[in-house]
Amino acid sequence: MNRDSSSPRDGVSRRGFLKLGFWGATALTLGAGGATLLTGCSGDPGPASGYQHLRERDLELLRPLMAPLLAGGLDAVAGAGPDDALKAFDRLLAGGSEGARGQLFQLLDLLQLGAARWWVTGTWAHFADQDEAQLQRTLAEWSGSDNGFAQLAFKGLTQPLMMAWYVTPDAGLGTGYPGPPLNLAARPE
Amino acid sequence: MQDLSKLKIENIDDPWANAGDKWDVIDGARQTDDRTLEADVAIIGTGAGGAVSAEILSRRGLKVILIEAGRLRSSRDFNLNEGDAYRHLYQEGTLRATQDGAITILQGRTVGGTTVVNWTSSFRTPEETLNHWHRRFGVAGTGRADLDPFFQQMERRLGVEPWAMPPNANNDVIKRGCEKLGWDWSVIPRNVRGCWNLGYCGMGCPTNAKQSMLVTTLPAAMDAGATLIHGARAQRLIHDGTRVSAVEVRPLDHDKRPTGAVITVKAPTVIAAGGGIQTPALLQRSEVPDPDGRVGKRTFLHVTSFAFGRYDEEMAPYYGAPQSLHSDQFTFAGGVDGPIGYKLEMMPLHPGLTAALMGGFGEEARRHIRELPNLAASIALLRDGFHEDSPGGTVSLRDNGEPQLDYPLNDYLLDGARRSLLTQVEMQFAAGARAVRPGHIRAPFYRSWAEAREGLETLPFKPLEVALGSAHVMGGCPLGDEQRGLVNSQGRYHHLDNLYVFDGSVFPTSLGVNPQLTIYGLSARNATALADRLA
Repeated sequence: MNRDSSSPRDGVSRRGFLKLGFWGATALTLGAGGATLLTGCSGDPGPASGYQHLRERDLELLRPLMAPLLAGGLDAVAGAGPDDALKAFDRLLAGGSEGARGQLFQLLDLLQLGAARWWVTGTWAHFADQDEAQLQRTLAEWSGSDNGFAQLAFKGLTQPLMMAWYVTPDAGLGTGYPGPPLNLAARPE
Repeated sequence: MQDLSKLKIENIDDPWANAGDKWDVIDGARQTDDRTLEADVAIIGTGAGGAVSAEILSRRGLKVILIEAGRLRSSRDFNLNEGDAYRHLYQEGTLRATQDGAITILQGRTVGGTTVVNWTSSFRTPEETLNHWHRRFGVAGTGRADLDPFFQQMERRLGVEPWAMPPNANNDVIKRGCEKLGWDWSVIPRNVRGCWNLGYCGMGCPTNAKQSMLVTTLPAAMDAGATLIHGARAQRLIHDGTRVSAVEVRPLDHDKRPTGAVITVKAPTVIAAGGGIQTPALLQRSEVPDPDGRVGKRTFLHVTSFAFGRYDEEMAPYYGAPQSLHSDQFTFAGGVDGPIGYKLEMMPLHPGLTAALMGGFGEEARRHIRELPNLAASIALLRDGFHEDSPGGTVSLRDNGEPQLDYPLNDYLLDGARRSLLTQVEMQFAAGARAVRPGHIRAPFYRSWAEAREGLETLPFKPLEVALGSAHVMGGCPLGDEQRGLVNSQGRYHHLDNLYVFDGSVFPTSLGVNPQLTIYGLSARNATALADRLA
């Protein structure tokens, strides 16, 4: 094993990361076209209606992933759909710092690019253009990737998405957790 | 099936009820005009270091102003909702991680700091650690005999006693596993009084049984006349290269954005107590004299690996005192500065954290999370910073002044991660687990110790493949003589006459135990000496 933990075959060196920031370095490896496109969509359109942080294009990107990612977790809550999971994600982001959110938005912007999706997830097609079986394959390939960057993107995106959904009380009850005691003094959110 | 969801918690005495009527509390979110305040001592941070210091200094008649970036929340706010707790009580709402994303960092951000959300384990600093500090970093006057009186003082103050009730099923895994294997184990001392054994230490104690700073030293300091400014970030220290004259404070609104006002806190003595990451970042934003470029370097994490065990019987890992037993079988097994040692403990599991740490997606992830009532989770805290191949991480500033931590994972640490996972898997099978899954993205639930041992041999140990976390941020502003450290044994910053650092950032290495009692004891000792000089 290398002392320097990201080997060159991961496509980017650790030092490169530190200089450019993660996703900026990725954009460079995708070539100037990718970088331009990234800049092109990094203008801030503001949050989508009803959301504090997620933008309309993030919702379009992530919405198709929610059901295959959460599988029965979504169905276990009566009447819940992908947008409830996205709302939960938006609430989780509210706890983050501007810098942490900024990195996540860079990743989401990057995943708008076909070339980046191909490199990170193994598929060019926008998630909205993939059927359920394709999305399952995409997630399987992405999660099993040897590419350090793809691993980072998978963890960086799916870990907060999973946490965001399962911290909601209704989703939590679907795990067999009976729920917390009732603190009568606590003001509801 | 254990079910506490019908249990009602009521009639809990909250020291912060009507705080505005009896104490001087300033809410940053309401500050829209610039103002200047004056004190004898300004303390930045209200966690283990800042709050202990505030009590000691206020009681000696010194005027103290406490500055806290987090907001004031108390038992009346702790609704035991996991998401609300992370959003309001943790740094970056649990989105904090090392720069390459490989280590998730849980750290408190609220009035009372991490003491409000920690799992109450209270250990004195190991002698091996203190002796190492003396030998390697020239730290003087900080041996166990020097600190023991202050540990004892803080143990009494905070009700620290070995946990007397039976462990929950999750913690019983340590006892069963270690007894079967002939390994060391013992009972954890906890800082609680009248604990209900509920299991919600990490979301803010709803019964005020946990003797966090929120219900002990901070109310005492407020009673003695201290001022608390919460929801207000210490932006920088104003100094002339020799002395600090004031702290520039930026009040924050409810969304953590600056209100635009500036509060200037003038004080002849300033204590930085923001903890690891925050204190070094403050010093960096302030451009304090740092001739050898040490600020923020050597930041340690007790890099933590974990393993999930599945049991036939109900474990209910979400209920009961979250940590009550531990094992030091491997903490110093390779000597103090040999191959990395690790302490074994358990961690509580609630649905959100479990789903995040389990990883994966789809049907398989769903199957695993639905086994929550039958899961146990062990952790191993890797004792980083003692070996030359363990230099820790480096704090730096983002363009907007927020801190970030670069913590490279090298072979030395990854070897420790592998060994600590083998140990945990062996312990859990010995404790009767049906299946055990080490925290690694490519590891399945193994069905036997033999299968797991073979499987772990073939797994690649790389960052992001092995799942790692941290709840203990230490170092970045170390004790030591001028040749090796940044603060002297009294906690005074070598390069500014009236700046003191009383928090976990002064540790020259990690500890090998959960850090709160070390911070309490060191801060009590140094704040008492400071009070003797000032009062």
